[in-house]
Amino acid sequence: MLNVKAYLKPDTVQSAYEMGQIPGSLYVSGGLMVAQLKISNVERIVDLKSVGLTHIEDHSDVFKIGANVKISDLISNPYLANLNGDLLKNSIKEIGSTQIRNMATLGGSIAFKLGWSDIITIFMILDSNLEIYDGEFSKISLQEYVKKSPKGVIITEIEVPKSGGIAVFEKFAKSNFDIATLNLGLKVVLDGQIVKDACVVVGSRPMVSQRIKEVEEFLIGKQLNGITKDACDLMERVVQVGSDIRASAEYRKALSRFLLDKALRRV
Amino acid sequence: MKVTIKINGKVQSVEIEPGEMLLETLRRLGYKGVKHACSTASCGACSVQIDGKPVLSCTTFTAAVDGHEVMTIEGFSDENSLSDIQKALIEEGGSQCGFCIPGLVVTSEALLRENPNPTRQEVIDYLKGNLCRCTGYESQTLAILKVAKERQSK
Ligand SMILES: Cc1cc2nc3c(=O)[nH]c(=O)nc-3n(C[C@H](O)[C@H](O)[C@H](O)COP(=O)(O)OP(=O)(O)OC[C@H]3O[C@@H](n4cnc5c(N)ncnc54)[C@H](O)[C@@H]3O)c2cc1C
Repeated sequence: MLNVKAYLKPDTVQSAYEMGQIPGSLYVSGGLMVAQLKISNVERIVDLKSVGLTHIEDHSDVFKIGANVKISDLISNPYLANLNGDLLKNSIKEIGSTQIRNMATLGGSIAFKLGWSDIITIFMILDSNLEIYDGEFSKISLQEYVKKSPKGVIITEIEVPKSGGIAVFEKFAKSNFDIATLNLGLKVVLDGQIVKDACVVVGSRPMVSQRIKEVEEFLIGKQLNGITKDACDLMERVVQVGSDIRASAEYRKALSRFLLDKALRRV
Repeated sequence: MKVTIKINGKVQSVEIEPGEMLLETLRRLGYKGVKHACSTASCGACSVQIDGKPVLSCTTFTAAVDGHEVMTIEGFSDENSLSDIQKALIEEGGSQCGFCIPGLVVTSEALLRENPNPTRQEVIDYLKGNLCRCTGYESQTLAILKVAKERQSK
């Protein structure tokens, strides 16, 4: 048990942020990760769930998703679930278990910046932006957010643009309830068979998810048929991966080509 | 701090530590069917329902459950009779040591409420967070499918 002195339930983002600035405070949303922290300097837990942020709004050009939306609720809106060729509908079930998806929030999943996060890979393919609060509200792309380490900032909303294209998510794990050894997301916008635009993201490298620009640039302007081998060769050459207890860098490189091959065949 | 939780239909006011997990609270209150096992959200033995959804009590702050409704295994059967899921698990040979069964039953109840007529694959997918180390999953899956069929025909 975390030996905390207070569990606070602010009712606005502003008051949550003020509480979060006091040394020894820690935000919690789903709580799955916070509950397991073995740190002794946390004195106050600031529960962000009490500020609401559980909306999924369908606007003309974007979906706005509150940071406290549970992973399992992401597919409750059929339009969001079916975006970009059913990306969320097909990929959310790959995350943890029923219980974990009922607990983990979208904001907590992004804020923790887990290297092996499937959520970050999936929302990076969707070209998502975050609304954050650090005394005032501002926007930042998910890609920028994971590169920085903004301290004490609250993620309030995730914005998913309604861009065209088909997206797929691939995860390789040792069992169907394990974290990814490597995961990969691919989105392509096609004009007939020609790739007009592409987004390729690799996660659990084991570092946090990253777009693979070289492969994206290679794909753009090419006929989708017949480029798989060259795209996979390039992926294996350029992807930046490391070794950890789950796999060696060499193994991850080989996996990256295998997952891209699979993804290209699915789109 | 004090919280008010409806547990198996009964509203209870409970004094807790601010960092306390729901698993500890429930066991202290006598709901010993909620099992203490991995404490890392990995095995499902501590599963309970909060507002009808299966979650892991080992990683749920009790303070966060203030004002909500919790169902433990004790709420799905009474001391004198087994629930239909419990009976089917015994009949199909789905229980040996029995340690994982309370969590499995609580999760299965939610599955059958959300999806009264699941396919075999849907049962497997829904229950993948409830680990069993002695029986294996085949007979448990058969038991849940059998209950689904029985409930449909009622
Ligand atoms: C056993 C297990 C298996 C898992 N499997 C997978 C998997 O297969 N794929 C996958 O992608 N993920 C997986 N996860 C991770 C899970 O999906 C969530 O990412 C994780 O639980 C964090 O979400 P949370 O809402 O519980 O965050 P919390 O534990 O509440 O918080 C996590 C961190 O984020 C901070 N925080 C929370 N909310 C905010 C916010 N709105 N703004 C700023 N900071 C915030 C907290 O202070 C804390 O530091 C798994 C987790 C577990 C325990």
